[in-house]
Amino acid sequence: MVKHAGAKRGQTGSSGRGRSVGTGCGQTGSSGRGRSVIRLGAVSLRFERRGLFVMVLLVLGILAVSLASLLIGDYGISFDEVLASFMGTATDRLVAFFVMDVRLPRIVAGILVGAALGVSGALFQTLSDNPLGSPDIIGFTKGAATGALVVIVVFSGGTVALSLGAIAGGLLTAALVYGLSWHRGAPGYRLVLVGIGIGATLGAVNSLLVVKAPLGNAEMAIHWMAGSLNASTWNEVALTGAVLAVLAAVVCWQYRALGAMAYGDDSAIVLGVRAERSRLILMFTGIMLMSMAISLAGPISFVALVAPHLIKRITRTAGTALVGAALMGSLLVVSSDLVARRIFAPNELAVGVVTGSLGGIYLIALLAFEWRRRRQ
Amino acid sequence: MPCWRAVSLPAQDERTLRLAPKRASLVLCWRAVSSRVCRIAFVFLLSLCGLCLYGSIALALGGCGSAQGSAAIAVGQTRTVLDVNDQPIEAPVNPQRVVTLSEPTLDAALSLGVIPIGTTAGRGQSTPPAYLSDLAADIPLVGNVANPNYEEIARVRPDLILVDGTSINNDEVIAILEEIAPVVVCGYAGGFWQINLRITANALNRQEEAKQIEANYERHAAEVSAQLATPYENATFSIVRWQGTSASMILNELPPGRVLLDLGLKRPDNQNRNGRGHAEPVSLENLAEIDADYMFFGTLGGSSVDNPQAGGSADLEGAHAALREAVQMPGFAQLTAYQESHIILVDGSLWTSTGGPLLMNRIIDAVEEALL
Repeated sequence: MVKHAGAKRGQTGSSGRGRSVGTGCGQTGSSGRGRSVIRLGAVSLRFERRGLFVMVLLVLGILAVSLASLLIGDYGISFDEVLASFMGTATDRLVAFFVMDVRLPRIVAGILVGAALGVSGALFQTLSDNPLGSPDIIGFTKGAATGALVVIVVFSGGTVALSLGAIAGGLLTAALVYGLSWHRGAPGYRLVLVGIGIGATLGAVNSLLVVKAPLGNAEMAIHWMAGSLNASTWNEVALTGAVLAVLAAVVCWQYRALGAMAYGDDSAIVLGVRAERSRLILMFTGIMLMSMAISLAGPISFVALVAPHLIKRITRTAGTALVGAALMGSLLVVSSDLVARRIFAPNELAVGVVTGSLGGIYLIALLAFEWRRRRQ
Repeated sequence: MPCWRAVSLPAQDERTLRLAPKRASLVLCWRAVSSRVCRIAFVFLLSLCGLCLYGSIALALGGCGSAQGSAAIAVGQTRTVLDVNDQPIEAPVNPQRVVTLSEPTLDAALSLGVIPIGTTAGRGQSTPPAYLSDLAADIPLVGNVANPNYEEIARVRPDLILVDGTSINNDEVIAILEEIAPVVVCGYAGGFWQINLRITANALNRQEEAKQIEANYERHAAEVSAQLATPYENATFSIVRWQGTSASMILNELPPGRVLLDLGLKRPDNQNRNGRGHAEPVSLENLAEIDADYMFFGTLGGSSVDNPQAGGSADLEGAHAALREAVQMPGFAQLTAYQESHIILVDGSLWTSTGGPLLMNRIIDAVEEALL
């Protein structure tokens, strides 16, 4: 498969809108604007060139910001020293330590967290068929935070316990929200309303947990709640990365079902998708993704809501964009973390504060632009 | 969906669907399975696996790197000191470059005559603690309470780092700090300031000075206590921190509460207890809980983990502004202390955060000035 992915394009698609391209396999070719097809034996891949272009840009963006994050910091480490650290030949022990054990895990954590949040948001927005149906709006993030806070405040638990608490909290909240909003069939907008209500309640529970905790735990809890990558270590990153890889596999397994369900359960069933089962599996996966992300970095706001919207608007497509949402989420978190580290240096902001502001501003700008265009 | 779109039904596919539904859907399914699922699966999995692999390689490399020259910074002779958990730590015999990452350790170090080369901003403030401005204003900041900036700390090349539970409780943070210099944890949140002072003094190798400081404090408290005993025999005293629209009480276990105990001043019954190591929030419907015959009233600035640059001041000006807001709250004007004009505005950095011996002595001075 690696070879397939890297193989040169067999046929390129049309440049004109609506012109179809003949294919070597004698099957229905791809149509529509700007699409290309790769075929290799039985395996074929169709993609839109604009989409691919955007993806490449996003990956380059992530790489650029990551490189900047590796280079920029108060300790003053030059490019040569960063390179030497990667080769294991740095002379200053602390240079190697900051590059390899402080900056790098922090960057990787940002990429993982962003990708998980982006995919989770895209999944929920598709499944709930509502652009506001992202986990941070409908209370799931708050629920996962409640679970994690119980672990921090009541049990003084470590990393693994915190992840488990977040997952349990997220699942329970999802069950509660869906249970309350289910009324003769799929919930639709009721899901968002009930979710906002449950989220508000859980927000109060979270504050109460912090207030009633002893100072040591309360301080950890507040620090965690702000959403910070300040204490990301390789152990945590590796744990989260491993779980996310499994979850990514599950998403891929259910990917076709998700695409079909975007057109409604009836169409999906016609296409041979077991809609209810797939919905459950995908929701479970989405909650796990979000919970793993927030157990690593705290409840980073807005990424899950904004990343899928941004990628849709940039690529100008309407469907579910999982890979795009993942890349966009990663770019958002990694660059926000760089801003958070540097904007008030030597003081650090929490990354959640920056994602909230940046994501919010961008989304407002996009919506305002679109609204104005529609009125014309 | 950008490039691998959800199964869509473009015009041509719809036509196929009409012509031969069964075959068309099979074709659609197969295409979807063969191309999109596999492609997505592999790209995503590969990238994640790559990241993890990269991480573990980096971990291995980093591990080698740190093993090679672990004595890069530690210079000179060391001796073993115990931290608050009785863990032995190899600290320099005569630390020259000390970084304090909490208010109590900064206070204790200054009282022992050691000027740190780096410290954290006071709680809620964006400068070193305001009550120490005469001694600490010029000490460079290397982070906030609970949010140290590792690289800035390393840049000032400390040979000893002092922290305690009022600022850092996270083992991972301490593990990172230990890479930079020996770290001594000097106390718990809500613990006795004397214990914090003793451990700090031991780490700084100045045990004799610490004993002197404790004795001086006890004498100071006893003197003022004797003068307060008669005029304030039956009065009760409340300590309140007012932030925005909410009040919290300082109870017995925090430094100002301990000062009042040491001075023999009484607390109202509901405040005469130990809290949880931080100011106890009071909801507005229970505002009467903050009442007493006299009320020490202060505020901290708005700085927090969320917003380290937030304005607001912790000094008397800030307390004035906070009182103006508090009076707007229903019920505040009915409190005994307010009705009898017994609200004593105080410096919030002194009265409503935490510190060490300097803080304790300065609170006694403040009480003396306000009541005698």
